[in-house]
Amino acid sequence: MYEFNYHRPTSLDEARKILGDNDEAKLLAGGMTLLPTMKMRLASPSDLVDLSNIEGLADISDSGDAIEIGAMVCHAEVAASDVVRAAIPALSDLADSIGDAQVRNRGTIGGSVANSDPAADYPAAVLGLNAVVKTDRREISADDYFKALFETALEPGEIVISVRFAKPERAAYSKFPNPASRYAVVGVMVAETAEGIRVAVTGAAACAYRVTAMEDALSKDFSAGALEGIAVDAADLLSDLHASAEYRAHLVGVMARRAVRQLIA
Amino acid sequence: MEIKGEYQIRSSRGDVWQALNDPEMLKKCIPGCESLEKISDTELAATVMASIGPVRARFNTRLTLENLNPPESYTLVGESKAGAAGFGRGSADVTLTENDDGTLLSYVADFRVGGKLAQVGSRLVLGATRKIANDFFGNFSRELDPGATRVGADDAGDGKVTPRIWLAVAGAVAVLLIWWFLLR
Repeated sequence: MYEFNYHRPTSLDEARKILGDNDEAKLLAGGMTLLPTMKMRLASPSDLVDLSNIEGLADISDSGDAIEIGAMVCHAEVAASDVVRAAIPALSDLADSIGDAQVRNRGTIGGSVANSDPAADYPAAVLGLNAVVKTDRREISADDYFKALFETALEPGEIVISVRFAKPERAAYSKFPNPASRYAVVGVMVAETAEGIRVAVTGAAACAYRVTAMEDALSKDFSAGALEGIAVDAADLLSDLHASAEYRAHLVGVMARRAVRQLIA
Repeated sequence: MEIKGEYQIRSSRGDVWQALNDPEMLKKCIPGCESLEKISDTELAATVMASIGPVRARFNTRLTLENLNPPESYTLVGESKAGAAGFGRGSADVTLTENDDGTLLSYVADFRVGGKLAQVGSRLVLGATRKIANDFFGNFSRELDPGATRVGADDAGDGKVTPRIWLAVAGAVAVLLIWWFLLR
């Protein structure tokens, strides 16, 4: 292992100071992506700033019309939380479907959202449920958050504090997992929110995105049949040894219909 | 995995061909390119700091021009090694065709990764390649013409033709450079 400095600050101010003093410093949440990348020598930060000792980043709270999940809450805690289960069962199910038990007990919602892996599950929830990403500087709405491959609205050194999910009328998440990694080959969140129907897709493109044609169709007729015949363009979708872009485009339709059926049943 | 592109350039084929040979311009526009040197008429050596998501690493890449048929076509081949993590290799067949509006540049690129990189990173290669190519196009067009727009997105006859040459050419080169270092 090459050398790096490990820090475990106890406050956001301290974390910010370390980040400010070291150009090549990286924030460490669960480390489920960063550490394997470092082991492969594809990243060599000078300093790691572990967020696990900062108070207030690992709470789950219910404010009546919304729930707020701290950035350092791991997937297993979200899956097991009665608060989350009561408010948004689709989010519990989603968290429970991430990776394996080890990943669920180390990986965090803040890390997943900040990393914005194209095949991560949480981005579909953040976008589909119209969540708000709260950072140490501001609040970012889901529609402004996901920009491109591994690219979000976060600025260098900006720290995710929590994610706030308004409680939807109803929501369901359906994914086609890679059988080995359980990453989403395609995952679709369908939600009826105060602002209307939202359909958000992860796994298929460079980052999570909404399918407005499906949202419009479901607004008129909330049934799986309403989605029949809505073509998903494969041009900008990802292609790899697990699935071609065309197959992913097909799966977007299939997963969306499955999510709708869950909600009607 | 293939990446294809086609660009209509209102410039002579000879000029487009010439444009392929300016290491300084390429260096300026390739995201993270720290150095790009011409070793011989058919070889370039590049050092690129690739920074995508969790990946931030420096890659040494060698570009070779093969099947040279000036000023009509060639194959760009690039190779990059990432130590114990594996390697990447890419190639692009670039063709310049003269037509009434100038020159049509088309490329068909293919790329592969090997070793541990392929095991863990193949799912991201295409997306990463597209991203860098887009970044590169943006840099390149702004470098030549602050008002330049992406090919296919602008109207004809606005006089913003030259950037397209560079966009296209550089695009091909960028796409090539990419997979050797983007393999994660």
